[in-house]
Amino acid sequence: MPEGEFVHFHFDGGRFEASDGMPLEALGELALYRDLLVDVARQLWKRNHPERQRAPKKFGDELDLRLERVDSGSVQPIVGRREVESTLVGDYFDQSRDLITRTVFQVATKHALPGDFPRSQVPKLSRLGGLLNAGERYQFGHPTDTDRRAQLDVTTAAMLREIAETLTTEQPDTRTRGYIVEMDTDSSTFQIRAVDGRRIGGATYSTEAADEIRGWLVVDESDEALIEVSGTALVDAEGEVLRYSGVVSVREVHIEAVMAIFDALAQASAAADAAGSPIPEDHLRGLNERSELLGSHYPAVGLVAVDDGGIRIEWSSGNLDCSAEIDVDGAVFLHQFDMESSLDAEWEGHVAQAAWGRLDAFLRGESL
Amino acid sequence: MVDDLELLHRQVYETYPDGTAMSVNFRPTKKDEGLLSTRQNSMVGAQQAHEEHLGNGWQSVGTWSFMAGATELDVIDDSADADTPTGHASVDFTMLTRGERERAGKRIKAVAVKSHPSD
Repeated sequence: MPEGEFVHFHFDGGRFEASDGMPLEALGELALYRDLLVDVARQLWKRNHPERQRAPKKFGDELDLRLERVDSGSVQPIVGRREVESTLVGDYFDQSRDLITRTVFQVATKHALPGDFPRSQVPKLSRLGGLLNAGERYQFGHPTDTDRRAQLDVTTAAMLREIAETLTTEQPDTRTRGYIVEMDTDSSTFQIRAVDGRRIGGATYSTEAADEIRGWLVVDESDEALIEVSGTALVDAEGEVLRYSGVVSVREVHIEAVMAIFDALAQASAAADAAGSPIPEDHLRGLNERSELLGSHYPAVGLVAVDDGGIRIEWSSGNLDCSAEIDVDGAVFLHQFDMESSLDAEWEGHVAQAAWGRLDAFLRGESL
Repeated sequence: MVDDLELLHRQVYETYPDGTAMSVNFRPTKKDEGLLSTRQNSMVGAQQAHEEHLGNGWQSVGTWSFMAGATELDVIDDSADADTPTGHASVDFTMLTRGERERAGKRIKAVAVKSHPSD
């Protein structure tokens, strides 16, 4: 059973004066507020647990809010909180509610955010009030303490959007790892749950990629596909990705492939040691750091020790048969052979002179 | 020289996880002094070549075979030499640059097929 009112809401003006009942579009505002409550609470929890990379699993499930009824006298939705058995997250939702209230109050009165509001949540905060027309407003906050309430109207909502715009920038070549947890075929977008637990939305996919994205959509937690999204993203002042405005690629990260690369590196190193010509440690380290990039060609990729402490990588990519050799002195030789046209190309460099970057580009499919 | 139509057997010891032979198998190592060791099918079958190779203590996951004419390089019939196994032939990489060695090895890999053991 509901334990009592968790948050006070009181809509008035415009459509909210017209008649009894609550306009359905206002429900979206309540849902948005609930999401913001959870996300801000999560940030507060992480702030108090700097040693933890992620908030507890199913953090948001601990906030079970219910719209119990809508009282008349303008529109006053009564939102109660249903108790859940677990209390893993303490009173972070109460703190979150009060911080959101104080933030909106301060923006309305001082045109500035309080210092303790999580900057990563400003874009979501700025979406509050989106449904309001001129003359409409709502008061919200603590269920009983009227001093802990704020009012949101179109002017304050516009200020929130202005502040959000000043705090975000578009950043190209941004990568995020996580899981696809929602897919909207109407808007061709998907949402990611990043590996640190944050939700990132707005990732637009191409029609051609739809089937692949659907295949990665998490329907069963025991069968999650880790993916990496890259493209242009909106990032906040702390560098956190808020949403993707342009997705360049989505690819699956194959953990078993990375493990296979680790194994192959270890075997090559052991073989070189046994031959009395060890592979230099910084070459092994450089390849170890590229294990995912190498693994992206799995299973058509191999690493072997070659003469005198050298190491050789081979991989196939379409018609191209590619290889990279790193000699014991750091000389790097890259070569590609097109099996269809029989044309080949080569590149020579040194690990001390940006050869790692050239190898990265080659592994990503850039031609020599 | 070996006839272009001769089938040459090469022992493969390095493969991708999916079983594809790596091109490193089809070019000589430093100790080979530029000569890629093969066996001629007219004198030794793929299975025998594989078994003899293992019998000498060398590693091999199988025999891959290709036509002598498929390579742009000279294939020397050195089967009469005293210290070579029956039907031996050497693909001559000696005059090649590093890039040319890569190209030649990958050309052979592209045409070579696994002839023993059969999957």
